[in-house]
Amino acid sequence: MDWNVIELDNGITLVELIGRMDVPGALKADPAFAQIAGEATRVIVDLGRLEFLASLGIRTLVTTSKTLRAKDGNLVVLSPQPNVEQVLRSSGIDTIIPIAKDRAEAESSVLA
Amino acid sequence: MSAARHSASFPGTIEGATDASVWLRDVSAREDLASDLTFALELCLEELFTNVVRHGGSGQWDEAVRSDLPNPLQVAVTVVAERDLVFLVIEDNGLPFDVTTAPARPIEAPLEEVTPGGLGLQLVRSFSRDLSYEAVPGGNRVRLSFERPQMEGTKAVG
Repeated sequence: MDWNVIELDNGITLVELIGRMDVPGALKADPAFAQIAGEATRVIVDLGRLEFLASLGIRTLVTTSKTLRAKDGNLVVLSPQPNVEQVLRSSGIDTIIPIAKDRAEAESSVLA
Repeated sequence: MSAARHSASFPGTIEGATDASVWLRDVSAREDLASDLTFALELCLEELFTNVVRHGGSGQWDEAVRSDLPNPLQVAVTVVAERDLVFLVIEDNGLPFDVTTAPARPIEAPLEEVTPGGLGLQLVRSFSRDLSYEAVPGGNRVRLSFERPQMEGTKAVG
């Protein structure tokens, strides 16, 4: 599990997740997301290179999203692979965290 | 048609759950299972295994109950690969827990009210073909089945 955090010019924080958000992956990423939730406001999480996601990782995304919303921020996920997208939709998380298909859609959604 | 059977046992801990995932991916590679099926197997294993870790031996139970617990918590995982179906059987020696009657909750509430527990079982039901539970002496047995797409041609993802 690895990630890159990129500050875009328009005040958006782009977090690129790489690898597997399984048990060890989620445990490793949790502190980083806690820091991002504390420092950022509008966050796009790019899931294009995320190969695995389960409920532990969903919890991380939901917790981060709640913290951001509490300070009028927002979190959007971008271009999940099909299996990961099915996890998001089966769990119903897509009803509370928007799934964007491309970067432009993600940026307009997170700034809304 | 003979079925290939793989079994391993793991401690009922977070580390055990991680080791079980690694083992499952190895079995999947040896059986040449499709990547979507491997994803579904691994997802269900992780959700059910962490469920055992969470509920099988501690947490909501008081000390009087806990003193009767089998110790240590163990989780046995079996994969049976047939031509058209793959079975995943997860047995533990923890407290009785019927996953087929436990509430599975997709997220429906507004984000501010969401506490994402119960999502795991929702995912297990969504990614498996069927799910059954059996209380066995001293523990629990959960059996899942999955359709095994034939390797010729690509599988449509719905």
